[in-house]
Amino acid sequence: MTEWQKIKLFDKRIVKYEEHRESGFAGLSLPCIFANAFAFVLMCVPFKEIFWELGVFWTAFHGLLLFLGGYWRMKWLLVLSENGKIVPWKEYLKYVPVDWKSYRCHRYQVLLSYTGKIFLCFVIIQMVFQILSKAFMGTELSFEGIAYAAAMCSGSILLPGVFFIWKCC
Amino acid sequence: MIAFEHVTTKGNGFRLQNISFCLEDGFIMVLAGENGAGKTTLLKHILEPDISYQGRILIGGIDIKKDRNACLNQVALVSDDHRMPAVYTVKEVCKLYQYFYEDWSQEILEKSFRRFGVLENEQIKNLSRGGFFRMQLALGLAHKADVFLLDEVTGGMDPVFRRELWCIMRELAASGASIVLVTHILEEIRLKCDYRGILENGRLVKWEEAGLE
Repeated sequence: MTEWQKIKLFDKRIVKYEEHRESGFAGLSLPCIFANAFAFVLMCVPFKEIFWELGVFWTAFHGLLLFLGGYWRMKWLLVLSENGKIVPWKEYLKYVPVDWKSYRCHRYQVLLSYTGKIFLCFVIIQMVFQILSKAFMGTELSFEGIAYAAAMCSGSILLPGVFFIWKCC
Repeated sequence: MIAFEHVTTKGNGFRLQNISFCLEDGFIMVLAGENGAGKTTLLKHILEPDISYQGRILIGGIDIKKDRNACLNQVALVSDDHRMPAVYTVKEVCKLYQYFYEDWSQEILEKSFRRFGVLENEQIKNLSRGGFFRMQLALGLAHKADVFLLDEVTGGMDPVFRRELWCIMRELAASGASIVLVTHILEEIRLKCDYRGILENGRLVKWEEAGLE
């Protein structure tokens, strides 16, 4: 078994235990599912028209939801909550022969794949809305929404995630 | 086999100074010293990668600086400082740790649990101190460790546990493992060990075969 496979199995098992301990679904915690569901709903709303006046606040709120979704997705793999204290897994594996390079890389891979999936969902939602609005209201197609999703995903999920992995592993 | 070759801690603060000894397979060594003599620091030199030192520490002939993971594969630590996920059960922790060891035996683990009376479904936080030490011993046996490092495991324990622990250590030594028992109880060096050492202010002031005194 390669080091990479060992880390994958280890992570799979942590997720299984934490899913059972903290309640979750399909490898995701409930807070992560809710935060993302809410973020997707917000993305569906034609925000430019309705929330234009809120501007920065709306974007910040959306960013916060995405950040929380990412945090709750990665939390199980990075830390463990024990009686209200947060302990990095690194502490528990201090005296165990772990290949730390594979350990970190696997977490980066999970983060990247999670960010990619969220981005893809946003892009699909945006395209569907753009096409519908072009078909029924005759509006022009624009790529602003996709650029917005890319900026939000990198700023609220990818960058903080990289920081947390760097800090905890 | 575990060997220290002229190990001296670099930097300021408390330091180990020119520690040298070699413990071959199948022997028990008791390393005693008062609190603050450097016993736990000595173990940390083996286990923690951040401590910088001169000299060499060899586990099974491998320099720990060169291949830390190969060395950790051969080492079992039994200590209060061995942090494990308190909210997980013994079984869950073992299932998590098994992936990282090259030669893991589930059969030996289950056998050891039965023998030591460790309850698999008990949460780590609910284990007694003795139970936690037994669990760590079973973990070490399951990954077929060659070197057992026991850090202050006898202090504060009842005579029954201490007797049982010595029996286990004898069995481990008979099967070819090297055992280092670190203790602040100086009387313990009079027990049936093979080698004894005394640490004082980071120096190994005495190192001898137990039968020579």
